[in-house]
Amino acid sequence: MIAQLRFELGLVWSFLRSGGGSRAAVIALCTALVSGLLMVAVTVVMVTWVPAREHEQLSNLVSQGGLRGGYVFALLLICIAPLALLQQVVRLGTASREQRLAALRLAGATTGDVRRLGAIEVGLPALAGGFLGLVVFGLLRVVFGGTPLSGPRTTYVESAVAQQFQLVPTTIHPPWWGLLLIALGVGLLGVCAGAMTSRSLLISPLGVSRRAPRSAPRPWALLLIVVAVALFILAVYKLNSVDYLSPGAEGRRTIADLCLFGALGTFLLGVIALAPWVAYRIGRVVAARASTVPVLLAGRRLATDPRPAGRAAAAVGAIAVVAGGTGATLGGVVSRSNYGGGAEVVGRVDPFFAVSLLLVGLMLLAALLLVVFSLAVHGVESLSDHRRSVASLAVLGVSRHELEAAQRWEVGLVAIPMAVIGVCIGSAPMLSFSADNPLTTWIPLLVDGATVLLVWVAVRASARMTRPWLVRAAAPASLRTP
Amino acid sequence: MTVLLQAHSLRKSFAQTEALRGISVEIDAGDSVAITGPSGSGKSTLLLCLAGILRPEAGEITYDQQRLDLLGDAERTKLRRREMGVVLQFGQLVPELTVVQNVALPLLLDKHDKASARRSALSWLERLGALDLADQVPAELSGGQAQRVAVARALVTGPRIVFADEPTGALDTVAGEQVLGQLVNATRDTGAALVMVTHDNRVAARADREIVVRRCARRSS
Repeated sequence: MIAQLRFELGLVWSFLRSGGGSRAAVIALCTALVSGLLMVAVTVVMVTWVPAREHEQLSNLVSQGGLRGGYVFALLLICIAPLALLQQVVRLGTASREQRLAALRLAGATTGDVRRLGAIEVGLPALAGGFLGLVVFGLLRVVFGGTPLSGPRTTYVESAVAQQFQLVPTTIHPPWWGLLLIALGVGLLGVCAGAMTSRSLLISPLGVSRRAPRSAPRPWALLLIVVAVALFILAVYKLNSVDYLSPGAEGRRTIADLCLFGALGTFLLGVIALAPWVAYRIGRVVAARASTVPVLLAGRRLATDPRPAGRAAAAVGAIAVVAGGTGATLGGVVSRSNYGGGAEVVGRVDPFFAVSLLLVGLMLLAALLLVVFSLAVHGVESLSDHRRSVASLAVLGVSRHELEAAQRWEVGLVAIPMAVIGVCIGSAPMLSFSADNPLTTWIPLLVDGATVLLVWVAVRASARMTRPWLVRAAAPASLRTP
Repeated sequence: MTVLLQAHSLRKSFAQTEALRGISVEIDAGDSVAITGPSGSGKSTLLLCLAGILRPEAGEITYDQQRLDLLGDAERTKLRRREMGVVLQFGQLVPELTVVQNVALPLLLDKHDKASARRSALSWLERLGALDLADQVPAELSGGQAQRVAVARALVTGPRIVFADEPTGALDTVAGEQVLGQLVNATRDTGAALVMVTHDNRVAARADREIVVRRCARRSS
């Protein structure tokens, strides 16, 4: 048993040494981010029972009970982008290593052996990342830590703006076993991701193929969006009906908050789950009407296998929902600060809102950066799947420029509509409440436009990143069946 | 001679194309057989069914009095690992492992200790004149060298039967002759049976007997 494990670890080490290192590093980075953010989230939740706010100066997001839940929810939302990238990287690792997988099977490895090796190969860096989360947690404490009101660090921040950046309590932290549990849990998530991903592949000694495609995606996710709308309406009704002076008001407020977070979470799930169907529908429509080779190729790829592109673009939808909501909130905040005809609009914005919105914006940009990698990973996977077809097209005379355009279209045809759907869903509910001031309309529209533009830039950047793989796929050597 | 492998009335289809239709074959221990036939006649499918890589939809395959077609994928794989060797057209080596690691792989998968697996691998590489390649990776090998390594990997477990699907199909005449000579001689020396699929008459001539598969692949309406 131990000898077998040693042999398998040795094999995995060989795979990691010969080119799998960068993949392992990305997996570790993703899980480190998730683990670190979860540690912060648990620390913030602990403030409810261990009131750190009495011992240190912290942002209102942490110190005020009514805002804390939203902050923790936002921390969990941020985890979506690294998790989406993790899923893509793990998938890439399985599909692009088909030569190795088939050779292992030919040498006598059973399907179970190959899957176990895949799980170890992903699980080891994921576990390392889980523990590296402690470093991320430590760094976040250093950069965004509160100021203790007693002890050696008693110089607390005078500026109201700077105080809003104090987002991580430093006088309390989860117990050692809690930290260990988070690190192990995130590592285990990686192991499961590694084991689950290879389940969609048929690995035989003759090669690797995907399981027979299931039926076309269905728009069941629209039901989630309907549920989210219902929850949102319920939350608004509850919020409006709370009489803050009456007994039990806090409980009703909590229910309203839960409905609100539930609505947002269900919205996001709906948008993420809707992505493959959107990819499929767009692929069919575009393939039927395409007049150029790149668009036709992209449309056909989406129509025949919409799920990978849909998965890659799902995080774009989630980001766009949050961006849409942020734009609408920004519009509301700015218009309220301008109420009464003040000359300097920005100067009058409450530092709490200014800092919160700035942080959300920065987080969205960081998430979008991760999405660029996620889309690029999808591009590499698509090239790996279609490399013989790409090489045949190159032989036929399709230029590299056109092949790259096909890559770009394949991603863009899903990512851009997902971004548009996301910003509409994100900003519509907020806009419906405050359409009294032109700023509340124009600022969200500007933010929505900027979000779609940034997604377009991300699509181009991801296509650019996959160029070396495109060149390799288009080489005549790809025509041979290895 | 004792019958080592027996197939009876095999049928195998891919979607609507029938690749095998009622084929029966017998392979004796130590036998050397070439399966020939026109392209698309189903000879590779027959070999892959006999090796337990593909499972026929109908018919029986008996290996050493054991029904191969009734075994699950994991059992067939373990049996193949211990009792059979397989050589495909392009070598199909694990790109990340060195040559010696590739050859030792079936032994390591079968829980042999690392040192003895390496010794056996090196011994087979030496026997096939590829010892100097031991620490190279597959990307550094020529087609003929990769195929020699694949032959070593197929023989390292001391199989009772070796299957080779177009083992020289991707090689030039000289390299093909070398690899074929080594494959035939090595199996003869170890007493293993050899089943080769080929459309090359010179390759078929090296076998003791030839099974000609007539075109049976057809589309069913």
